[in-house]
Amino acid sequence: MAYIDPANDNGVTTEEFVKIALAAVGINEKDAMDYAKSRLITEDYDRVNAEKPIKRRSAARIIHKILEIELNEKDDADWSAAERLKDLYSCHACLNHIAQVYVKGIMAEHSSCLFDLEGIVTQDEAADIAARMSDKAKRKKPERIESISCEITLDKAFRLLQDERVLLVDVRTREEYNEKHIEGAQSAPLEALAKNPHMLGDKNRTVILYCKRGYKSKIAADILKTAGFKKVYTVVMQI
Amino acid sequence: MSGQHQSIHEHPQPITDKAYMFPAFFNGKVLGAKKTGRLPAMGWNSWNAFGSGNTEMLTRAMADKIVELGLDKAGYKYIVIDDGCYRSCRVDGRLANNDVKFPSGFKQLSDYIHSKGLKFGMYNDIGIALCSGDKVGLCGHEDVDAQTYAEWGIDFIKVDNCYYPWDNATFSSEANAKYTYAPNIRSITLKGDKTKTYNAVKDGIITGSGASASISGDYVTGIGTTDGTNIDASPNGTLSGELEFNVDVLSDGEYSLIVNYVSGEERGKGCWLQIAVGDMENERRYFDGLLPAADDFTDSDEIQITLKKGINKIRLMNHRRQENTLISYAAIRDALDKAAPDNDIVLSLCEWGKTQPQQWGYKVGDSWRILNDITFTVGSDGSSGSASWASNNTASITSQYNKAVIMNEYAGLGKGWNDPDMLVVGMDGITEIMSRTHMSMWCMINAPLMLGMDLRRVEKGDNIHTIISNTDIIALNQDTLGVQAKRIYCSVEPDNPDTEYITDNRRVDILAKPLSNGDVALCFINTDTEKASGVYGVTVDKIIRYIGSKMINGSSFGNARRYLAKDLWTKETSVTEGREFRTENLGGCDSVTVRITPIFD
Repeated sequence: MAYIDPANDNGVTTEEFVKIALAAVGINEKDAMDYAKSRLITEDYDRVNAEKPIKRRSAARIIHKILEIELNEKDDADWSAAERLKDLYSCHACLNHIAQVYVKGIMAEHSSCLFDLEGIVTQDEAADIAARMSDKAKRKKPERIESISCEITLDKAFRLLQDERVLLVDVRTREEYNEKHIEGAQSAPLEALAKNPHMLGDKNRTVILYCKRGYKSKIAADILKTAGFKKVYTVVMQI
Repeated sequence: MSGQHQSIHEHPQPITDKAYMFPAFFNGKVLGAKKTGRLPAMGWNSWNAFGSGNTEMLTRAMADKIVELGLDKAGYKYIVIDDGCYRSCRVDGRLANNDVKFPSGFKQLSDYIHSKGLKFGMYNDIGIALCSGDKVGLCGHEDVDAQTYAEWGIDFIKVDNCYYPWDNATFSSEANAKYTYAPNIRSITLKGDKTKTYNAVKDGIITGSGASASISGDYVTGIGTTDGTNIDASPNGTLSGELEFNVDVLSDGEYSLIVNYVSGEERGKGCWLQIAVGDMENERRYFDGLLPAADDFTDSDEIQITLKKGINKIRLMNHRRQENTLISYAAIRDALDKAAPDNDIVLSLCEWGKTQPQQWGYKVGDSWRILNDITFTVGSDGSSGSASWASNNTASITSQYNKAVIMNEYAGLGKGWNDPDMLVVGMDGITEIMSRTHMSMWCMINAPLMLGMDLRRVEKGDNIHTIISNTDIIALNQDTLGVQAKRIYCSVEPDNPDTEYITDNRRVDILAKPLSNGDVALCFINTDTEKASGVYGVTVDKIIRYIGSKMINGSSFGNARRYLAKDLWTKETSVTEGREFRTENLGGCDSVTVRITPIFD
């Protein structure tokens, strides 16, 4: 679905974007699309959609290609910061293009943790992109989000749990969980988490762990942090 | 097999043939003219090597190199061009070549590849557009595209599921989740002589996985099939969730069922419901369709069902994620078989494990991808791309291996093969040791062996060439017994090494593979990047316990006086008088692969 910004719906066409992006790196060909095609910067898809508003994922691809082909700019080896984008994995072919333009600070997320692959690029955004392509000093690299892992109070835990996306996880044994557990908590025994640290799924979700005395949940928190979970809390619960 | 074709309709169509329904997944029967008995495909695929930058020139160069390096004699025969090769729109309704990258067209390229004694493969998807957005997906065009492919003389086709209309797959609308999940269910009411309401949470029984009671305890949600694209969940066990009610009625007869539900178009809460009476093995389906959209809990219209006197099992479920996808791939299989009955076209399913294809893929395909990609940083002309040994997502050798290694029961000659994606040998970030272990893993687990590098960088006799052309190792993958290795030892899982899903790489695995001449291949793998000090071994008895039933000589293997062990990388042989095969001090990412021959003198 194309995103139309109600405040600023002047999306830039594919052709315009290609011209702007090439100009940003000092290439001012009369027929920008033709040039880009010959350099394998654009795909046939871009030719077909030359006069349509360019999608953000196409823009990411074209920017990345220009960096590679015209500037010989290498990829950033560490693209892990892009994993906070919830829609990063929605296109296997676009992933690296999006990850690179994001971690290099050329295209930002559209809204909270969403790149918005199908959204359009506005004139203002295109101008910003051009500036960042040509001048590395203008690139706004995303802040490295360190993963959080710490103990929190019961009060804070209950406040966080107002958001239904937050996971409450009981790391005691399955038998202990079946006997009694906090309402709404999911069972993930520590032993199971150790074997498969990825079992809780989406790593952008906040996870709150509890056990009997706080010992197991601290070990579990370390396991999840290593597995890439960004916000992991432990809480001492009276069960 | 035809008749279930449904790609051009507004909604998924009724399924009239039980062969396409969920219970049939477990009968081991392939559909239509699907050929069985094929060993894993071997060849080269353009994606990891060149991404969407692949061209006709590069492809021809790869075909040349395959022959020059003797890789064709080692078994690599399919040259597959992946995404990025088509013109972005159909021409007169037909697929066409991208004139910049493939100016001579695909028939010429196919002829060239065939002239080298090799086979030609292409790529498409079951949706309306490719992942790139090119509106050349097979959906609705299966027959005409199959004719085109037959004209081009393809021998292999890899088909993914971007822009698929019936699931929230890549670039399909998220709203398609309405087809893949049942609504949230609060209760059912059964009307006959009496009227009784059964509460979903209190009276219903949630079976399988993925479905659960809401936190509020009011209703059941998540009824559908779990998404297998990521590394979070095991590929084994029950992979769908259902809600069942055991109702006791006084007499045989027709009853009315009313479902109290709320619908959605999001993961876990959809709009499509299936209602069956009876266990899966002998179910009768009474409803299989969209319910009217409802934002608040609403009663459905009455649904007529037939019950027998006594206890009846009523199941509320949604298996359409798998059933619809099977039907779509079957349409392609059908069309190809019709258009090119003699071409023996290999069908490689690539829906990234989303619909748990290990359960149904064998009916129509020769292999099925089990996860999202092994690398997202593919190469280009002049760059090797990069890959990893381990990662917190699907993009690594061990992420793919950790899942595939416990999927051996799904694979076989009568079915097809688990596909842990293409080889990343030759990409940056992969050392020689990693490459050797990667090759050993893929050969032991009967994975398709698709090279994914620029072969112009390989010289005969160099390290990469030595690894990818090791005929002793390839012989394991191509062994005619066609049995995927079983993990019979795992240092962190003493009880169920063969079925337990382990993603913690700090361990040593030992795999055992029965071979057609009575030998057994053993592979000792250190999945950790740190050295594994210590001795790791398996006894003859353990081997027989785990794979004896699959061996041609399971009863006599254990009676040998001695065993000859040949290391398939160092080529050294040794004789074991005892009954245990051991290795020690495995380096980080390292492995030892031996072929054991029983000696009976």
